[in-house]
Amino acid sequence: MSENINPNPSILPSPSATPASRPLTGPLAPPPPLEGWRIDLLKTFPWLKWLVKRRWFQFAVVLPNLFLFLVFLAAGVWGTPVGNRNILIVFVWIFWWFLLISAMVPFLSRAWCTMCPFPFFGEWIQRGSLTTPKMAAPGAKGAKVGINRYFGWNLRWPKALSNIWMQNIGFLGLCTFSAFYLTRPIVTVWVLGSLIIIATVLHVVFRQRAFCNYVCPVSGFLSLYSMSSMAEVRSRDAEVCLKCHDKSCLVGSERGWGCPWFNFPSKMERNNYCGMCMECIKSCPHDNMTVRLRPFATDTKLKGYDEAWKAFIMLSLALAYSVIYLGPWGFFKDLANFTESGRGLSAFLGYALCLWALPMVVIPTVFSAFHWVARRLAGAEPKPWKESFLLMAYQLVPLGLLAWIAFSLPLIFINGSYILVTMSDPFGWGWDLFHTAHTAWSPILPQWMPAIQVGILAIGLILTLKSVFKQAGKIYTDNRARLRFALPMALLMTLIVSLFIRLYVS
Amino acid sequence: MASKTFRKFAAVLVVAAGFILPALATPAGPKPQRRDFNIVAHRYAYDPAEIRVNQGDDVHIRFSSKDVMHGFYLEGYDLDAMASPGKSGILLRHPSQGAEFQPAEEITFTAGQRGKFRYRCSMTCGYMHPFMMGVLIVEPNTLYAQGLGLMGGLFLAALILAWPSKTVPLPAAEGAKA
Repeated sequence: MSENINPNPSILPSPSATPASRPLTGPLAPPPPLEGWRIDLLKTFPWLKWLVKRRWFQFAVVLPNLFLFLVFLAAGVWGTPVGNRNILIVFVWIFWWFLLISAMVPFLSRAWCTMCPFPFFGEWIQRGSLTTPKMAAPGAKGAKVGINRYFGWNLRWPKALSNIWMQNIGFLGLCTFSAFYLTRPIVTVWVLGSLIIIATVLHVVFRQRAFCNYVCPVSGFLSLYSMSSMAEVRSRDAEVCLKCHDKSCLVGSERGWGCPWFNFPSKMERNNYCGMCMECIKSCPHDNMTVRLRPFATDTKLKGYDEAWKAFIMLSLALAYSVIYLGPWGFFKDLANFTESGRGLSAFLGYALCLWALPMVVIPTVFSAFHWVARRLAGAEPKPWKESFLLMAYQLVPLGLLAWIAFSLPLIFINGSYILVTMSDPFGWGWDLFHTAHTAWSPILPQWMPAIQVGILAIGLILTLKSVFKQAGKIYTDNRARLRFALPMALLMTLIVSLFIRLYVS
Repeated sequence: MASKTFRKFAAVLVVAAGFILPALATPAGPKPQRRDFNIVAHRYAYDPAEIRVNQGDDVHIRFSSKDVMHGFYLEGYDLDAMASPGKSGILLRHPSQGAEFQPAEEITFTAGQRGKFRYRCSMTCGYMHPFMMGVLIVEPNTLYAQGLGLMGGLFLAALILAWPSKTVPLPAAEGAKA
C-alpha cells in the first residue's frame, strides 16, 4: 500500500526532533518535483478556499447526501420492487454511478468520499463531535491520537491487513451478486445498509478512517482511479512543510483533525488514499495545503500487487459486465440472475468461478506473459520484476477508467428517462411530485452510442500508449531496450481496447 | 533520422488512415433484398439474439412473446413494438410521431443506416428488463472496421513517435543475460 500511509500516526518521530536545517529522509522527505502544469484552485477561487476552510464544510455536504440516502433506503424497503420504477435503483445504480465514474472521479478525484454518508455515524461517535476538533488534555475522556482526542476503542488497524486486498475481495464478492442488487431494491438496501453498519462498527473499534482505507469496496476503485483525476490535494511548497514544526496536518490541531486517512498530507504524492476531507487545509498553520487542478493521469505509480490486482479486477469487470449487461446473450443474464431464471445454484457457482478467475488469474496471467516477453525482448534487466510489473500494470488505470466510462454511458443515455420518472414518484406509489412521473421511456442518441464508445476508448488508448512508452523509459535508459520493452505492452493495451470495440460495435 | 515534426505528421497520417481507409475500402454490398425474421422474446433475451442484414434490405420481422408482455424498441429506426404472449399480432408505434400504438402484423423497415443497432425491451418485464436486448447488424458495419483501424493506427503512431532517434547498442552480455 501507499508509502504515504502511516497507519500509526502517533508513533511518527516528533517533528521537533527533526531539525529543519538537516535534510530529511524517509517519511519526512519532501515529495518529488511536479510533472506538468498545476492550477491552485484555492488561490484562483478565494470563495472555494473560504468554503473548504469552514469547519462545517464536510458536514454540510454530507448531511443532504445522508438525507437523500435515507430516503432512497426507505424507498428500497417500502417502495415498488420493480427496479426501474424505484428511486433507489435508478438514482444509485444509474445516476450516481454515472456521475461518479464519468465526472467525479476523472475531474474531482475522491470528492465522493468528502460527501459519502457511509462513515457519518461512525465518525460522529469516534470524534464525539460533528464539526469541532477535540483536543487531547490530561484527564479528559477518550484516546489521544496525535494531539486530537477520540472516543471508541481506537485500536490500530492490523498491519497485515494494511493494504487493499480486503477491498479487492469485497468488491469482487459484491460484483458477483450484481444482478441482484442492480435490479432488486431490497437487495440494494441490504448491501448499502450493511456497509453503513460495518462502517459504524469499525469506526468505533479502529482508529480514524480504517473502514474507508481498508474495507469499503467503493473506496478501493476510487483510490485506483483517482490517480487519473485532474484534482489533487497537495502542499504548495515542500520547503514550508520541511520547516514546519507543528505537522498539524498529520497530528491535528485545534483548527482541524489529524489526517483521518492516515496520510502525511505534506508529502502526499498520489491521490490514492486522500479522501479530500480538507482537514489538512484547515489545520495547516502556514496555509500551505491546497487543492490543485492538474493534467489527466498524473499519478503514475502503483505501489503494491494489491493495487495492481485492483486494476486487473476493474478491467475484468468492465469486460464481464459489457458481456452480461450490454450484450444480447440471455445465457449470461440467466446465470447472473439464477434465482429467477431457474438455472440452479451449480450454474451460478460456475458463473461466479469464471467471474473470479478472470481478474484473479486469467488477465494477470496474460498480462504477466506479455510483461515477461517485454523483458526478454528488452534484453537488459535494470529493474526488478515487481517494479516493472507495477509500472506497466498502472497502464490499466487510465485504460480501465475510460473503459468504465464507455460501459456506463449507455446506462444513463438509454435509461436516463427513469430518473425523471422516479424523481416524481420515488416509491412507485403513483405520486407525481414534479409532473414527470409519466415520462415515456425515451433513450437518448442510442444509435450513436457505439461511435461515442469508440471515441472514449480511443482516448483511453492514447493516454495509455503515451504512458507505456514514458514509463518504459523509467525501466530502461537505453532507447532501443525501452522500445523493445514497450512494444509488447503497447500491443496488449491495443488488443484489450480492440476487445471492447468488438463487444460494443460488432 | 526523421525530424520531430515529420514524425508527428506521419503519426497523424497513420491514425487518420487507420480510421478512414476501412470506410473507403468497404466493397459494395449485394443487391438489396427482402429479409424475413421471426423474433421471439422471453425473459430476458430475444431469439435470435442477433440478426444481420445488408444495407438497403427490406426487413420484415414477425415479433412475438413467449412469457410476458415484451417490447421491441429498435435504435436508430424509430420503431417500437409490443407483443403479448399467445397473441399473433403486435402493437406498433413510431416514437417520434407520438405515444399511440397501432395494431400491426409485423415490423417492417428498410435497413438504410449501416452499423450496429440494439433492439431493447421497452415494456417493463421483470428484474433484468433494462438489460434485455438483441442486436441488429446492418452490413457493412464500417464503424467496427474503423474502430479497429483507429486503434491499430494509434498503436503504430505511438511506435513512430517513440522510435529512438539515436540508438545506443546494447552490450552483448546484457542481452544474453535476459
